[in-house]
Amino acid sequence: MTHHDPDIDDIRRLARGEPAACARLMASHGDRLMAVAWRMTGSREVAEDIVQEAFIRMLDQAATWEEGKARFSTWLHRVTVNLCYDRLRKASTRYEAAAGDDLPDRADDTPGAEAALAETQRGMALGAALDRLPARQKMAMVLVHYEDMAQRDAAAAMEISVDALESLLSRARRALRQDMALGAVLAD
Amino acid sequence: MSNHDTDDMKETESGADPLMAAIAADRQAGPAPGFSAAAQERVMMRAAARFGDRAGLQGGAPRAMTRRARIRALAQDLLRPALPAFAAAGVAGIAAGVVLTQMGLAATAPLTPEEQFVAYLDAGSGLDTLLEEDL
Repeated sequence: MTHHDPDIDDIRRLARGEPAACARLMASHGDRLMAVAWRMTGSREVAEDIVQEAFIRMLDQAATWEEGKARFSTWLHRVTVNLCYDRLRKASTRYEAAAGDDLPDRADDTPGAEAALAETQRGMALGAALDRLPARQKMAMVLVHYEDMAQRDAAAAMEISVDALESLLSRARRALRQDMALGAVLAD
Repeated sequence: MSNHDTDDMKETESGADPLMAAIAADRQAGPAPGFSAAAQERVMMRAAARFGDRAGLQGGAPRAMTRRARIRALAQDLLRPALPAFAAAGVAGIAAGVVLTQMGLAATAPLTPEEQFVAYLDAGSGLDTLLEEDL
């Protein structure tokens, strides 16, 4: 099966040693990769390191890229996913640092402030509940429900079958619904 | 068709899924940061180093990089991994300073007569040893 890869011209140019192609590939994919890494790690700096490393690996990969096997963007996502797993194994997770900092210290009397605070609390509770999921379940949720990736692409990025992805998603959603702390906040 | 569990099906059919609503709200409330120009510059530096700064670096870079920006990007690349080591060394140095100060204070504390006598004997035996070695 062949895929039309919209990046193939730039891959070829990069393989020939044209750094301008690297800039275009970063412009095309940098923000999406950053979103995945940021949602997985919760740290802008760590996410940026991950995406930077993915693009540096791209410099090596371009020369040996086998056209028609897969989309290059899928490979980039796969590298990012694996770098995220590596970081999560080592580091603390999302919202830990933000837990005490993002909430206002005093009550705000401006209209809508209470609703905004409730929204912030819901977001933080959701993030914390996502952090309590196993890394692969969290990754499946981030790719499909946060980044709107098609299940086929998300499964390819995670190097699993679509069935396995659906199973991960199903378990993740069930775990999130059964998460008592998250349930309490969502019920408010 | 997906093989969602019954819990998923029930939630979907009801049309009101608090979890999915919360995810949608979270996405809107907290959009992810973009891949910064500084990080792109660092990758471009690596690309330039790899490809020998050939055609396209200036024209193709996310924005034209001045010499100063390149040096800054390179310095950030080099310094970032070193900073935790510097910090750890600093903490270790402070801890060592505190311990050594405490030891110094303990060493200069006034001696009891018994301790002074022991010190006197120790000094004498040391002198004897030296004399024996000389002989």
